[in-house]
Amino acid sequence: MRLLQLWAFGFCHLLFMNTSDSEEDSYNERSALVQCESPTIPSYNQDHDMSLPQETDTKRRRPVSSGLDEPGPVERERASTPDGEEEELTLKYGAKHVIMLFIPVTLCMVVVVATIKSVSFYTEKTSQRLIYTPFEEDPNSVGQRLLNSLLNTMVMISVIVVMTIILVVLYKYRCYKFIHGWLILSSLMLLFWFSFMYLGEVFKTYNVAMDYPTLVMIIWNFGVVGMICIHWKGPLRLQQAYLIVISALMALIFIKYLPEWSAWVILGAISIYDLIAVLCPKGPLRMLVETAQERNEPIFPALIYSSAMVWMVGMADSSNPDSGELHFTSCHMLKCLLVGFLTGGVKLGLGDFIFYSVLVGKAATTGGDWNTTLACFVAILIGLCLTLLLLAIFKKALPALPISITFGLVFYFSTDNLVRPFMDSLAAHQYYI
Amino acid sequence: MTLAVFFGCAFIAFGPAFALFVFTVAKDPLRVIILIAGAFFWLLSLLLSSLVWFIAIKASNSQDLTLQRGLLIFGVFFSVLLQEVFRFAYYRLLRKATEGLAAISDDDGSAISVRQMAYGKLCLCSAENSLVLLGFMLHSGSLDGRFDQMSLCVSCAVAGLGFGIMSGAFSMINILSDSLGPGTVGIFGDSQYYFIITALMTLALTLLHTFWGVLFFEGCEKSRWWVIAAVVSLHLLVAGLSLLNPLYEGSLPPVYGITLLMGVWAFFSSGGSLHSLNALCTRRKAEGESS
Repeated sequence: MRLLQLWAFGFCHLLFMNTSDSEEDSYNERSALVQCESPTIPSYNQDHDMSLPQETDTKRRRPVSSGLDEPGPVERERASTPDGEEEELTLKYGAKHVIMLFIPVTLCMVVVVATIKSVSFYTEKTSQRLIYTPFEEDPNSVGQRLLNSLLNTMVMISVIVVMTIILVVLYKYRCYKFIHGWLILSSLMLLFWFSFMYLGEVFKTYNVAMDYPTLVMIIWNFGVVGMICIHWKGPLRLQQAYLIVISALMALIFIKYLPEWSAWVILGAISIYDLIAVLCPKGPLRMLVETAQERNEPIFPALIYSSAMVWMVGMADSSNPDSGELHFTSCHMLKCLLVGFLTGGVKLGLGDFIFYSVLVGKAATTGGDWNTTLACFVAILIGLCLTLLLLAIFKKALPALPISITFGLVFYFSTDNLVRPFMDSLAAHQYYI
Repeated sequence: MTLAVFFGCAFIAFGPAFALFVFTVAKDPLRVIILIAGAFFWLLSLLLSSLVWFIAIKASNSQDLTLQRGLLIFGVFFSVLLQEVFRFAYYRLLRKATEGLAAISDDDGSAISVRQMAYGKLCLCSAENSLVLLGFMLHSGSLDGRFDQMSLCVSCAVAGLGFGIMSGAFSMINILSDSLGPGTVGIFGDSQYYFIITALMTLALTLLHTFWGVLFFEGCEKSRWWVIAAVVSLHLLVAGLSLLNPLYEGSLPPVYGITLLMGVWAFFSSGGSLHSLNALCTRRKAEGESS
């Protein structure tokens, strides 16, 4: 039964971003100023419009992007004089955006780790596997186990590649309705079925007696509000909370159903795939971003976590010769003050949340050692910081997985094998370093 | 018993650090990043020292207990030295970053004219300039010439806090999670004060790392190498004192004495004085009376 659900749910949920027409409508009614791709002169008005995020270079599930010209927190020497003050400001603002991504990533990881540590269901190994990892890992033979995990990884990655290519093809041929339907179906699955499962397991763990009518009401409300928030309109914080919750749920499913070694190899392989798909000229994700930019459309805004949206307006187009001096100056001042908020914040795909949480969750699963979990957590945050720094330097859509996952994997294996015995010995003797 | 011990030890070990975080670090995103990067650097130093220790352990006879203990002590001192090396490395990184920051904020005049040329229009440059500076002020909190010095000092303190928090977390978290479960401390003849002593030592170390961050900055900035040598040797001393455990009388009071000393030294070296303390108290009193 579970296999069927998972298959029906499919990987599409991860891959496809939900585009919602209603969000575009809300763009129109709330922000006549915000444009998608090319910066244009805003129809001039003095007050700052609150607008939903634009996705200038918004990517997708995995790449991180922002439309901002922000240098990162550390790289400063190359700042050129004309942009001196702007870069000064954007340094401070750049740090703010990094924190605005740290907080949801941290929250997602906290939810996953808390669940793993308390609800034993997600750490019990069953014989059930995802259909995407058909090879069973035999704990007796190391070679066989390694081989099977590599085969599982290849199956999984090829499924992802195929799905992504299907998505790009669908997008290119403008089959939006199909994509919409698929996404709505998959988020329905997550919000209703998986949260029902999760709630059931939490009740079992804490031995809470719950009757079905109450449960139905809770799940119904949770699910419907979630669908509305994610696919239509809703308060920003609520939408962010729902995105964090569904990322956590998805990560928990992966932690439960991926076999041990396969999970680690898959994490590594997915980062490499992310790198290729976003940066190579013929990579599917890059083609998707470019197609969307050509058509001047937002790329699937809803299943991307976006940090803040309350600021601003398009950038002044300095090449327009007809703008009056006052208009131009105001735009220019706006540009000075708020450069870096063109699209209202940095965006991170939900797949990134999911895989970060999978890594930290798996670190929490093994052995009950909190040091490993903490080390992976810090490593992922630093990786994210570096990715955002690169983003500020290169100013285009970047994959968010490779650096963080690499750091996370390195720190996981080294902390588990090297630091743990050292710290255990120190704690046993109460030596402090 | 278990929950009480858990919360008690958690608050002892992490209370001041948490308060420092909430009141000084949390409101500035840049400081949060510096904190986490500090934690990362400490983690790197720990990783490398564990690697060295692990290799030594594997290369030696695992049955020989005195040798193992000796190697552990060697690991402790090597780790301390490596932590100081990474503290220095992080200081250099922060200094480079702050210097770059200070360099841009100096070029006000020329920037405007170049930008004018770039846009080809005579804008209302003074209004523009003041708006830019206003934005800058709002977010830097100060516009005096000592911006870079002050911010580097604060950054080093925050970096020290990052080191301290990570060090404390690695010492304490496993023990905290064990203290939640059932058990009797010291049932096999060990000390029954294990948890509380650990919490107290963790607190001392966290504060020490913060103070050492400030002192290290001062030593490097003013090229007073004896300050740096003092910091390193005191760290070695504290680690050495902890080797006296479980003779807690020999380790805990001296460590706290050193902590107090470091606190006072850091306070005076970062520009505090008895006068400013006095002013703080009287202003508080005056505000209390007037409100």
